[in-house]
Amino acid sequence: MLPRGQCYVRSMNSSSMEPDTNVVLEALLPLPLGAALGQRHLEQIARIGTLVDHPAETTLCERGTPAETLQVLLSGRVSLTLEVPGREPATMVALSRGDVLGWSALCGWAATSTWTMTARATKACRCLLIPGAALRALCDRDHEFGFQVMRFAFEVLALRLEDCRLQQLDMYGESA
Amino acid sequence: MTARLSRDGLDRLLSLLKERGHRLIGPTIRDGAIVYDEIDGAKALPIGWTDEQAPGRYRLRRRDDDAYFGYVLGPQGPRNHLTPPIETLVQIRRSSLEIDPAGPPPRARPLALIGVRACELAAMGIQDRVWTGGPFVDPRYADRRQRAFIVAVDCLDPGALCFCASTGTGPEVREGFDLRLTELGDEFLLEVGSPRGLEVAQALETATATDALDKARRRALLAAEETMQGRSRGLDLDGLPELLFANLEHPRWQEVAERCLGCGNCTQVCPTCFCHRVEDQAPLHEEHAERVRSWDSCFTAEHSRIHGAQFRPQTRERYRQWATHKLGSWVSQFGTSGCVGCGRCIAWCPVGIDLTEEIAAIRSAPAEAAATERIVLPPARTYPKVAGDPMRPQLAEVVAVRPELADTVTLHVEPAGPFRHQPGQFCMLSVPEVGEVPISISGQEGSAILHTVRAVGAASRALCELHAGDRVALRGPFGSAWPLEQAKGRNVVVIAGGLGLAPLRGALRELVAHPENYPSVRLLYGARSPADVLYGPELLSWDRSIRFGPETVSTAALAGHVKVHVTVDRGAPGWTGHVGVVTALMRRKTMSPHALYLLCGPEVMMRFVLAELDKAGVPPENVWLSMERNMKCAAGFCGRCQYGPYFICKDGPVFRRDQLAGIFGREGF
Repeated sequence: MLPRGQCYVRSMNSSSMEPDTNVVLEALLPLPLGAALGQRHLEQIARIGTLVDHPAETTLCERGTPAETLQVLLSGRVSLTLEVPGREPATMVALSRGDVLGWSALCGWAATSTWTMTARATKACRCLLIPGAALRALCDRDHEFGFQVMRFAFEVLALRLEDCRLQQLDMYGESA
Repeated sequence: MTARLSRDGLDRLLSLLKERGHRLIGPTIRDGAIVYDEIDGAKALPIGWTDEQAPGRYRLRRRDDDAYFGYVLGPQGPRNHLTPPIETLVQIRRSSLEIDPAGPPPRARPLALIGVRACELAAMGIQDRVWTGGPFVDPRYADRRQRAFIVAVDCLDPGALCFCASTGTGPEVREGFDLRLTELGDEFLLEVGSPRGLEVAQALETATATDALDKARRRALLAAEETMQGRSRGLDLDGLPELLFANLEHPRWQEVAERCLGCGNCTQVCPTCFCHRVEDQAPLHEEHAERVRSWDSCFTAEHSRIHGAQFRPQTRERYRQWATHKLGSWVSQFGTSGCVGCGRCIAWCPVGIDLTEEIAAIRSAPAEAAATERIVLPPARTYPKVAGDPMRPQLAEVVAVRPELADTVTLHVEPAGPFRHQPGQFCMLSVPEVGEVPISISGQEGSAILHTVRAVGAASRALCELHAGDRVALRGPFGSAWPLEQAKGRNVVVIAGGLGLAPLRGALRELVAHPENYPSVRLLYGARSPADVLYGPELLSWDRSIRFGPETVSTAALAGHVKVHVTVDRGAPGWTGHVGVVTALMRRKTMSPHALYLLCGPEVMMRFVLAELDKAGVPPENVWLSMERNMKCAAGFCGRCQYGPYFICKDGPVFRRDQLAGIFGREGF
């Protein structure tokens, strides 16, 4: 079991905990989210986001805790592990630069979701942390924004589902 | 030379052939049929008998004359004697693994094939292409065929199921014989077709042929042809391969499958079928193990088995395979249709399925153009001939065994004889008495050839249990290679999954060692778990950016032209690399349409990889992939590894993607 670490929040603007919107924009633009959303929508996200650095081998989010933030991985690597008592922890996916985690935060209209897996930084990483409630409120207020965000999330999830199906096949066969 | 031969003369001809050392094989009556078997002389011929044929029916009937060759065709032809149903290929001494310790088997007496019909001669011509057309030549068949003396007989009374007139293979015997007989009343018109035929004819007492006799022959042949043309049964070969491959999903295949028993009778009586299996037999009381080939059929379950699973589980798929091969892909493989119009498959089908009727049904109502990709049938290839007996293994010494994974080892074997190979090719490795399996070559170190083997079946398990100093039997190398020459100067992306890295390692070593030829090499490798990553330390040594210690970087890799990305389906404690399928890894990288892609892994993985490459706009000409099927002979003889118009063993295993258009991923192929 990896040590559970702290979330190290580092402001890009020393006068405030809010990061500089331009810095966030610059970081998002080359990523799939940047390609999917227009400048105006990205600015809206940048305004509610916080930049967070996680050293390697720290826990970002723990299974069972409220899933209240969507995170965009700007660098590093994060593994998602399913922990079932009595079994070896099973790492199902590792996320890299540009990936998003915590999509449950997008589904919190009815009730607060909880993390189903534990997310750990296998390499030091930087994330843009987007509060789910604020993001959902933006989606409610601006349906065009909401549509673009949901479309992006849907495509991400569709690919994850396809990958999961392939993983289910155990296509390389029995071995170790 | 043309001459007249009396009935006594025929007897003398057969005696003469026996005196010259031939084993007489001719039509004779046995088990209620006219079979092709050893005969003593003319008296053993089915004198005064004929055979009546109808779909699912074969009966002998007395003729109202005493014609010698007044029958149509029995269930067997020369095939039974030119490619015996069961044949020992090699003997291997169990204690020392010596190959054929008693020396090569004694040469059998040459055959004299008596009464060969035009359709059977055509079938022999087709089988010649299978067994001697290259790249490999089966010396057993070639020897029997070359020494066989052929006495052919014109067919003047075609049966109800004959349709050789439509396939252009009869009824007249035109070529390929030593002597030709036409039975006209009480005498024969004799035609010489070869120098050795002339030698025999000159030793016979013959009379000069007359114009009248010749005219009688022409009239009789014309009548025979008209008889056939007057019937509805026929096979229009024009455009047939394209028609069948455009109708792979035609409902008729299902309809015929509902009647077909899948018994394989059609393949056993067909004079051109050649599929067989190869097995090691090791009787406990014998000092020798034997490698034996025996006739098989594409209707058997074993024929389409790979890794314990059937890829043609339905009768519909097996019948379609048989028909589309015989009448379609055969043309690509051998430059000719595989049907000679003898009608045997109709007579001997227990439920009377009529091939001509099935094909006519598809031709009369072809399916609408399918949305699926069209299969391209290539023209027949000419192969440069490879000398030697491809079925005879050489001994190789296991000089080292390197454990790779829990169930996988790499055998370092040194063949006793000369050995040259190219990355991508494979060998047939065996522990005699257990069995032989195709194993790709995964590299070369000094004079040792490397084979990475996973223990999945009896033969591969036996290979995995070998130790340094043990001996193994080896055939090969076989098959096509990765296009390393073509890759020079280009960016190369290698995508591998599981054990699929093994056939690529030889190529990767070349790519890594020559940065001057290969400016950018990227390996994307997917494995089941961190414990299943093959060649781990070597992979790390190829990528300069992976630094576990300076010693892990090979000298060639210092050029920095190689990037290695490994992903596993399921992570494990301590694993900090990618987790997810290899296609997810592809989405993280830029897949250039101009790079050259080399792929090997489970078919399902390659299917999704190809889909990703399509999304990236990579043209099929830039993608090469290695395929796998149930290979038994590796020389293109046994028919097991057919893949549409190709044989994996001699046309593959490495194919350019456009060659496999419409076939890759299609059910039943």
